[in-house]
Amino acid sequence: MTDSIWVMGDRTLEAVLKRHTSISVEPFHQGIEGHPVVIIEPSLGPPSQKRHAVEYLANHYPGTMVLSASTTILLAKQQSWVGNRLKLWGFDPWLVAIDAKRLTIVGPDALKPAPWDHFYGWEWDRIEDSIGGVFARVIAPLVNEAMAYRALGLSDRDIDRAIRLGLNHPQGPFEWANLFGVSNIGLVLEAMRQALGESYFPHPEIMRCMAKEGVDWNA
Amino acid sequence: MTSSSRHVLVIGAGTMGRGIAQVALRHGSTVHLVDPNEAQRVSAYNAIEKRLNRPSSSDLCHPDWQPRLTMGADWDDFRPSWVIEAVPETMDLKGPLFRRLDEEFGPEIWLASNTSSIAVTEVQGVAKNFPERVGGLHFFNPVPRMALVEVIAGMATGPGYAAAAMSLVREWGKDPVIAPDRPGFLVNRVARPYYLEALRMMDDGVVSLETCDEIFEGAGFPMGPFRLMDLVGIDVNFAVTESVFTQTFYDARYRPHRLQQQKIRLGQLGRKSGRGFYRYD
Repeated sequence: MTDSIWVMGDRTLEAVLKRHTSISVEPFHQGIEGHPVVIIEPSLGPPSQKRHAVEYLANHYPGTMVLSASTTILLAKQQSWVGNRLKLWGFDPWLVAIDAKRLTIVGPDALKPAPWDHFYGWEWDRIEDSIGGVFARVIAPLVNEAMAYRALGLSDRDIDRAIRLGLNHPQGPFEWANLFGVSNIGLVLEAMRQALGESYFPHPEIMRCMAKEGVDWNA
Repeated sequence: MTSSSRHVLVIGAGTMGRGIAQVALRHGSTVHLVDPNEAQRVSAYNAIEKRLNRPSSSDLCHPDWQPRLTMGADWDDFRPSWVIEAVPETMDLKGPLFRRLDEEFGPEIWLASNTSSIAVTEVQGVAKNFPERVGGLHFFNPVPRMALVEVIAGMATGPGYAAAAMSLVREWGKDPVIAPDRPGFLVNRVARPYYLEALRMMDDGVVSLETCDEIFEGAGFPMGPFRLMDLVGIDVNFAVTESVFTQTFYDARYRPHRLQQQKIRLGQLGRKSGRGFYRYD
């Protein structure tokens, strides 16, 4: 049976991952057959759905290495759901989505994070298991700030232009939001609010978008 | 009014003032650059001369710039269409200056403050005669290289200001954006998490500053947050955060970080002092 990498949910990640591995990358679906060397679980929540996904993998693919997004739910928490039934590693899927040169990873101390044996063309940095990770922890509040200006009547285009020209950021806040999804930005902020304090409360513009898309942290 | 007939009074010959003067001269405006400090004026003239006489291939240099530049400790009988103030960020200086400008110049003269943190409404509060012609023009450092200019209308600014300011800025080859008169305006406000979250993460032991910088640079940012703070000046960055924090009535989102304060106390201000988060000696 051929080795493959299975990706749950996100087709954007699938395309990027294919550029960094010689192993077959397949979208995950129930009943998929084969031998996954790594399963990528990039969802950010809500926690009930994340738990369902991780427990499903533990029940159906015990012992498999799983690279699971840990920017909204600590890897330690996810590990507590499944015990030793999965080899869990945490990562920030947004860095993969933009095909950054360096990825962040959370997991057991080792010279090299095991999932990365299957990928090339990336450098990785081990970071502490913390809500927001590094990249998402900055980008989500940045988008949150920008939402307040949209609410004041400024156009997304002008705000993006100002941030790109004034700060030399590679993308404006609404370009980030379009790339990662406003509701996902909201999930990161909600996780940060719970872990780090009320000041990370998502802007009402984000909450409206989450409501419209049926995304509820407490679901 | 075309750019060639614009008469611009620039007050303050520091980094920002001389940069604004240089841009104005390059695009054909007549400039009177005011600074009470003669050494500062000489330094500004030398800097402008050096840049305008040795333009890069992309420069639209007007070789006739020298007759269009005058300098002095005061503006005397210079009659501008625009006044752009670029004095240090304190109302102790800006307040009396705008009071005098408001008394000496008629309502047809636009008065712009290149404030980066003081509210435009606060500045126009001292211009009792014609507050409607007072607004903000926030240039970014280095002025000749940075395309963006924030155009800010205060609470009492008249409707014509924004259009006039956009026109001026465009004639000078810059890219204007309308920003509201709220603490940090647009760019400095949206930028706060880039610095503050990085400081908090490092302080929480999530990531080292070197790794944090590498992650963001690997994601396409020209400089990671710590390297950028060193370049801008830790004291400058801290002052902007402190100003936003104070003006938002102490919103915890903008609480300045003690690591920056400690660096300032040690005189480790970034590149300019040879040491900040990194060493440069």
